[in-house]
Amino acid sequence: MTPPRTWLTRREFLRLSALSGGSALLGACGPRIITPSGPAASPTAPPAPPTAPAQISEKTLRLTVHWSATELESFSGLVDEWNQGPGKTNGVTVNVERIRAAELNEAEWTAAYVADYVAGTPEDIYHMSGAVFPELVRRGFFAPPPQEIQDYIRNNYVQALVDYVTYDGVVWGYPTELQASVLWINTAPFQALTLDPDPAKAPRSWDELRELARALTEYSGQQKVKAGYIWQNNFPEPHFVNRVIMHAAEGEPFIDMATGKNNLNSAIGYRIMEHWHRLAIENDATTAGMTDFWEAYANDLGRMIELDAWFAWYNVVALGGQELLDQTIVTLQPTSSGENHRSSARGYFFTVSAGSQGPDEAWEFLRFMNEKPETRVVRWMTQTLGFLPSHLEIGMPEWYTPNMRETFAKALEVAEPMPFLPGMAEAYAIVVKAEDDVAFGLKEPQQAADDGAAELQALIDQKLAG
Amino acid sequence: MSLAAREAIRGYSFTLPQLAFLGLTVFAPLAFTAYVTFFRWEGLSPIREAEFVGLQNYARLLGDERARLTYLRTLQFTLGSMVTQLGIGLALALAVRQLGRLANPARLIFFLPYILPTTVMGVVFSSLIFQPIYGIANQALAALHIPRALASWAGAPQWFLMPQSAMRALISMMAWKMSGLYMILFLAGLQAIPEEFYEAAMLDGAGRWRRFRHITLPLLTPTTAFCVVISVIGSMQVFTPLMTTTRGGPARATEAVVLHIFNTSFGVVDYSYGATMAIVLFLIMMAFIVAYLRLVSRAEQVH
Repeated sequence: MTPPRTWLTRREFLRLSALSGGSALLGACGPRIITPSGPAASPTAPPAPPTAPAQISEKTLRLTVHWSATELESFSGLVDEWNQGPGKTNGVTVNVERIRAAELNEAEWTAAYVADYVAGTPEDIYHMSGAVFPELVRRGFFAPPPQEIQDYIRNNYVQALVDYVTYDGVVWGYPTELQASVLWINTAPFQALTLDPDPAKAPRSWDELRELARALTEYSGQQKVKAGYIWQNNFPEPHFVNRVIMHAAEGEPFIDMATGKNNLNSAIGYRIMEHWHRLAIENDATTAGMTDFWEAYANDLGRMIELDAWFAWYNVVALGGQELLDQTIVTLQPTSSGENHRSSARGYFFTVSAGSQGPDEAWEFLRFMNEKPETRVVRWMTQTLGFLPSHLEIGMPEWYTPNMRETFAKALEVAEPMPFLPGMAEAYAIVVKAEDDVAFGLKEPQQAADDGAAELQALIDQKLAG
Repeated sequence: MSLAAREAIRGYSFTLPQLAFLGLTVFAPLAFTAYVTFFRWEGLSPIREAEFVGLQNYARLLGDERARLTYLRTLQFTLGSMVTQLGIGLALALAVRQLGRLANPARLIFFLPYILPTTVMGVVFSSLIFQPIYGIANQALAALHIPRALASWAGAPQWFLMPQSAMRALISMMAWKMSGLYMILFLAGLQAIPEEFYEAAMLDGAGRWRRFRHITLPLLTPTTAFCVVISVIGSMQVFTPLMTTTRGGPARATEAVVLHIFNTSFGVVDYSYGATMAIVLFLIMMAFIVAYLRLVSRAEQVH
């Protein structure tokens, strides 16, 4: 008589394994449908505070910045003052991460923040660009700070920045720096080209700018090897900022926030495009198609640029050294008439995500980083990175040249605020596209202006409709 | 239960884990993506609060010039990539077969670009190789006395920095990376062709070109079909090479559809419209692949 079988056949074993494995997989993944759990979009009311997390003794918060290399390392050292001090006592560690996007592209930052939020893994603390802020604040993206922090910000920071970061009566973050855009000129080649490097002789009008750009452009045979004016390819922000400045200097807003109308193809808008056309195509005096803008100034491939105060450290000192700084002069950006010069006022902010696992702890960290000793982060950003100060108690960087101090002081007196525009990061991209179309000879100035204006208006209408 | 039924149950039980995995990671997200295209949803609030708009997103897409151009550019990139990558891959495979003892090291060398991470490749090409003034590519062209006009089809001399050349430069970069893969695939296909066919053809007096045209190419059809399908699928979804080089510029000259979908969904925060573009892309790819495979199948039957 055959004894009863006490083992599985191979087939039975395989079948059992397959069924067990499939069941385990289904159990692990589950029927849970993941839906974004962000707060309901409400353009008028601040979101409800996030649910208080369960009490845990240790917490790690993620702080995202767009800096890399030296700046990231330096800033991490600053954050370590918290991690080894109050953070250690409270059991709250802050890790600094670099955003997974281009270093200078606000549209990509928006995409990265939103994608993380939708995926359920939002950062805790943002170093938020002013361009991205309007889009996200109205969608309840941020956790409001305690009232005493809001009061501190109102009383201690540059008013233009406080106004920008106030929405629905709430001050949403600590401004970390102030930006103002000016014209930077590398005077190193001036002697060889018999030009006068006196800042008082710097170009004041578009005609003078084009003339100087042409004089500073050099060729080797048929190939352009030095360009007078640096065209900022792959960097949308300055194109938009310069538009705000240029239109304001001519007497109209670039985007009228009262009516929602943009002036990219107004009569002034056409003249601006014509100016770019003459500079880039007729005079062939820009770096468009020649080199990436970032390295152009320090490598003497391009000799003039219209950009913010941060250019001083990032591109002049860090890449070119003290000698290049000494050879650089700055002046208010030229206008069509040579009069009524304007500049810009804008900045970045530290703020906390509504999806943070520890919003209270995050605001405590930010309070430590911004409210003394001697306003920590703003002091670092000013003295180390060369930004203009957002805090009223801090002066300009000590290493600024006298010419820079004088010019930036004037710039701040004539600074235009940025429009508070949801979707502004995408608006940047539309403006740079329109101007690139002219600079690369793809469209005539008026056509480029009309096409850009139509696209920009469609975006504004969509965003203002909610 | 019949034997056939028991066999079927066994078959399903073995494939169940994979089907479940595919269902959760592919089919369910695809169905959800298609679902949200009928709503106006920014992607941050719960979907149940979104406004139902029917086919409005699709109607909007029909009139969207910018989106239409991204599809056209993607098609341009796909065709250019397919022709260059498969053409170079086949040429390399045919050449490597003739190298005797050097065939193995040659295979390795030509395959190496494929295993280089795409992000590294993008950074190296944009900052070192394709830099117009001091980049390696232009210096090599000058050293070899190759006129720039001749190399302009590849994107020289401005490469990524001009709208007129950026797409060609991108195709050139991807040809460098991917040709090695297709070389390997074609080598496998070539090795499967019986030598007797070539011997018989030579006995009949067929020259090299006629042997290639009437034996090699037809018998490589299954391999070529496979290569075409994976090339099209990969090229139509191009994203990482763009993000590490041109980022869709200059002047949107390289803005492909997946990049536009990403920026629309998360940058403009218009999730349902981005989903609409994604579904249309999916349908276009499916239509092509089904049509192409049917064509190939008919051609094989004729042979």
